[in-house]
Amino acid sequence: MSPSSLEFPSGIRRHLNLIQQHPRVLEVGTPFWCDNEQCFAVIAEFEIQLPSRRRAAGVSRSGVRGVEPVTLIFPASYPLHAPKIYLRSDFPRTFAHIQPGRPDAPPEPCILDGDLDELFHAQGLWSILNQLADWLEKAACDRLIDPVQGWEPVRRDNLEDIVVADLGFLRSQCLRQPQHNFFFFEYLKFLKSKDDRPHNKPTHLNGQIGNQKAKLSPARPEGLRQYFSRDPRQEMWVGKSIAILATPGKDSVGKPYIASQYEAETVTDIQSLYAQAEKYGCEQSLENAFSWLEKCARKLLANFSVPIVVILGVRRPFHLIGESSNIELVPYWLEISFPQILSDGEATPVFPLGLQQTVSEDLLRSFSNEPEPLEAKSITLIGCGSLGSKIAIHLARAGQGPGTVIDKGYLSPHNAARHALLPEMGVMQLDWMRPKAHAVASAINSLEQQTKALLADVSQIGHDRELRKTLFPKRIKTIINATASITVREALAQVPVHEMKARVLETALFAQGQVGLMSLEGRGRNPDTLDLLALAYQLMHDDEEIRPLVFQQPGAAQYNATGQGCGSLTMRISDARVSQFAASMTQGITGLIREQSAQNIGLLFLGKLEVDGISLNWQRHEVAPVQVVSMDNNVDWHIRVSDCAHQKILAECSKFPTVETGGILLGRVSQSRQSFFVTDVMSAPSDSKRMPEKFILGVEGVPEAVAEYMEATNNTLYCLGTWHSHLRPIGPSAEDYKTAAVIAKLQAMMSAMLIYTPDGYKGVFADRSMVYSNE
Amino acid sequence: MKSQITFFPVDNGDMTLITLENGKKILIDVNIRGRADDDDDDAPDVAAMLRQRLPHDAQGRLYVDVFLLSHPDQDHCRGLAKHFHLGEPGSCPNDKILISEIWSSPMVFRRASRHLTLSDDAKAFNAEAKRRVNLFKQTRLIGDIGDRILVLGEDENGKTDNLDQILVKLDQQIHHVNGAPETAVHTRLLGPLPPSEFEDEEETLSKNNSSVIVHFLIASDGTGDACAFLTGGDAEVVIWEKLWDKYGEHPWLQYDILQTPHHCSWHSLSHESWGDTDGKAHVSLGARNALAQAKTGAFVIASSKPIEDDDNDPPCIGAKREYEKTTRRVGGSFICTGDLPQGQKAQPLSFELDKDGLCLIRQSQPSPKSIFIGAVGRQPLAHG
Repeated sequence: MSPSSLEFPSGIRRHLNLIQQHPRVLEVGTPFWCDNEQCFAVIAEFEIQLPSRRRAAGVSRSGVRGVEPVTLIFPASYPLHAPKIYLRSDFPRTFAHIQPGRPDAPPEPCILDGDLDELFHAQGLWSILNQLADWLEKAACDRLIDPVQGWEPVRRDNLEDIVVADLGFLRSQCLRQPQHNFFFFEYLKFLKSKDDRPHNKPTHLNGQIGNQKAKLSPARPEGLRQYFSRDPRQEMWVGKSIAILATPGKDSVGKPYIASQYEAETVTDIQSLYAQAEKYGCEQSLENAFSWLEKCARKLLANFSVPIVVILGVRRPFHLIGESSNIELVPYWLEISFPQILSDGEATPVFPLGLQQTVSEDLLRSFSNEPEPLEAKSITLIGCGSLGSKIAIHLARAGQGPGTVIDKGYLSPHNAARHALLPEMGVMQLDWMRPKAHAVASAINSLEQQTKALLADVSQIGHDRELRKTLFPKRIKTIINATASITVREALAQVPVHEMKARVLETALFAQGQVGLMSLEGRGRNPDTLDLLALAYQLMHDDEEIRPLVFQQPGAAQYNATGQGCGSLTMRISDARVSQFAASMTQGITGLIREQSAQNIGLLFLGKLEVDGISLNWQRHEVAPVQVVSMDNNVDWHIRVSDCAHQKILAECSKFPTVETGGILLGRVSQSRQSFFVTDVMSAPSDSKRMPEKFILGVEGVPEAVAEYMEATNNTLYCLGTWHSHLRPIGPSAEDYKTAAVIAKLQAMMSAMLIYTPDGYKGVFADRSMVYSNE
Repeated sequence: MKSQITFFPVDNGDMTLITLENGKKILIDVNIRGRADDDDDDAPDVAAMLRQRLPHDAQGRLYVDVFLLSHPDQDHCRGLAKHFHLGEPGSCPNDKILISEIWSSPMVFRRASRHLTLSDDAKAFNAEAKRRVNLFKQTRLIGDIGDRILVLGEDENGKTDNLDQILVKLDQQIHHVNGAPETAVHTRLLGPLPPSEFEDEEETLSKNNSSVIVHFLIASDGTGDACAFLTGGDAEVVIWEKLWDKYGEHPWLQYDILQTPHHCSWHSLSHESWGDTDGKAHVSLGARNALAQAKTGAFVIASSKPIEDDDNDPPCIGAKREYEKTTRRVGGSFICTGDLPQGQKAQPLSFELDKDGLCLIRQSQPSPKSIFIGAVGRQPLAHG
């Protein structure tokens, strides 16, 4: 029973007054109960400006009247949802912007490039009336297609069947000449439920069109079998078939045919398909395709039918909405049989088909607004743990997934807390516990990008040349190290530059995810990743806020003093926190890789989580190449002097031009690379003595100062030895060697003695062996 | 692309832009009031509205293909020197609009200067027109962009003899627009009327605001005659009578859109004064007929202030009524550029040209304030 108008909701009644006020509305009828929709509706008459010469006739060429009745349906959920808008049932449906709907339902204008409910909430009913009035007037003056916005693709009713294809590729096949091409097509067809079979169409179709052309030949009918197959399962068929792309010919003056008239979708069978193809200028190509197919199929002995796809490539006068191309692909499908392919001739049913872009690098990059592709194939990512997997997936979703991913580990249940991938339901979670590299690579592959997975321990490359060549072939330009493993970092730094030109881009989290680090090696890998990390420690030490977080957390000393990595068992932080850093790092990585070839110096980024727990504050540091100093007494070891330390040494020497001076070296030792890295220097104590031929480093306060420094960095940075100046360009003196032996004797590990001369640096290596030889 | 015609809201004055389907821009008159540049003034900023609609040339300068000056009254050329470059094109600064080709009538200038002192804008325009004509005389070549000119109508005493391909004679069609053959518009020169041998008649023509009168037949949307547009500056009654005598119901007077002469002035339709006769002035049949050759659904545009029911002229309510008789007869509309729907900001009045004539591009309706505040602030509200 329908409610009487007495029950007409007051909310709607108020809005009726508003409709009445709209200048384009001539009259608003009495609200009525709409049985079909089970809600109230009202008819409003809109005044439409027709083109001037049509005003007398009262109807536009396209069939829009000077006064148009519009039905506004107020859904039961009104005003949570906007009113639905229907035009009179005989309103012409040949317009671009008409919602696809059943032929027996009244036409519904598509008045907004967006969600009508959203507009309704944002700007109210009035703006909907404005949109509607404009739509009607544009329809009357044939202005619905706006060249700036783009060509509106033909609207299709109730598309149930969708196939995917690389649309950019198909468009690229629409050349100036008319032609037809056959492409591989893999399908899945299944029966519709019995009560859902209108239009003589018993099945649904899904599938994918490939980019390879199928070469059909009548000479080898049996060869056709590779193209056509059917594997029936329960009410379902999977198989192979072909897709035809028919492209337009020339117009009467020999120019490429342009279909500049919007045509509504009317195809139901072969006859109407040809009629439509004629409007698009494709009928000759289509005919050629079918006759060739028929010729090829004539001798094929097959007693089944398969679906084929027919795509009409339509050339429009300007680009399509949201696309840069003016080629509209209008797809259909039909069932063909053998040997006579069209079982019912011209009456063989043809169904409109939805065509969607396959996931592709281009699609992903375009949606990520990445204009230029990175040379993703030249990027290798090491470490597919929580941070690495997130970076890999971020990159891949932007269409630039790394070409290779490496990890030595396997996923385990606790990884589910922070890894970018998700475990799937399965027996005993065994699917989940596979190699991390393989899991990440298959995720990247699912985004249509080729990625190689390597289950390998990168730390072995130092002594395994074959492994090194396998993991990092010459084409690799960037290695993203997300392992947070010092061993891996050392191994990477150990490989000589001439054997591995790729620059290492390091990413790591520290201090329970409160500090992030990202670094990129300089040209010729100087500064290299170890130098940068040592400098990062120095910078962390110098930063009053970061220092306690990284070096002085309770328990920091128990697991890797340097706060290394997000080793998952030790660092207990949330997935969101890792993502917070991973997201901004990925943004940075994309930029760094783009600029890499132009960048000479090394770069270091330190990110700090602010106290609000939300904001990240990144600081960028440029790192000049380090000076590599050979040892006078050892060919294997080197001293690497950071620019910061070098500048302090220079300043000190210029203060004492007539006497020797010196100080204490601070930094880190790398055993594997056999180097001292000098991050900083400490001034000589006050009891030091500076003379023309000699410098005596004093002791006053030194043990305390060094101890304090080491403590502040949790022994990450320490004393490396001493430096002093020579006024003339000569190497270490006998006195220097004597002192070196003394230093060596008192220190368990090796030490360095750095000498600054007008001729550059010289080095002396001091370790126990020196003591023994002296003795 | 469809062709467009745009009338800018310039009160009593003319400023009309034709955009052809090939993108060429023909600007007829300007009335950019100084106060349009002043933020504190509510006069619409027509200079900005114009600039938005103009393309840039290769040097990044805005330009019009053609600027046509109907006659040198201030309300038809105000702001010209300030916003347009007048001089050698090479010296055009980036903030000025370059005029690629000028359409000018020395005859109209001569008649105008008999009765009024030319404004600085008019003088600057005249100097520029002379520069371009002299350039042609020296080189005998159609100039480059910024040097081109067409002279509309022959002047007295053979002054325009030997101008050959830059001279457009009365009744002739303008075949070249901005130096290139043009098929997107057929432009027919109907005025100024030629110099009379009789001093009296010449005096009458001068007093009747001799103006360039042009009939444009504009192609759009695949139709060669999508729109016929008749415009005639401030030409007054005698001139329209003569045109009616000469052409009668010839297609050259027929229009889909008419710009009412002289901002809907009574003097274009009658020899008598509207104010003096208390609204009982007689209409000249000839002049009215000349301006009543409307095609079905035609628009008549008064480029003027809002038209009130008073003694004012122009715009004149009596003239409006005469034009409305015509538009009613053909199912068309009369629109005044000064009339604004309540609460709307002044916008250019734009038409897109369809194969079936003109489509008025209407602005969206701003939502009535009453939705939000009802009567508050609109009237005193007593509270007990």
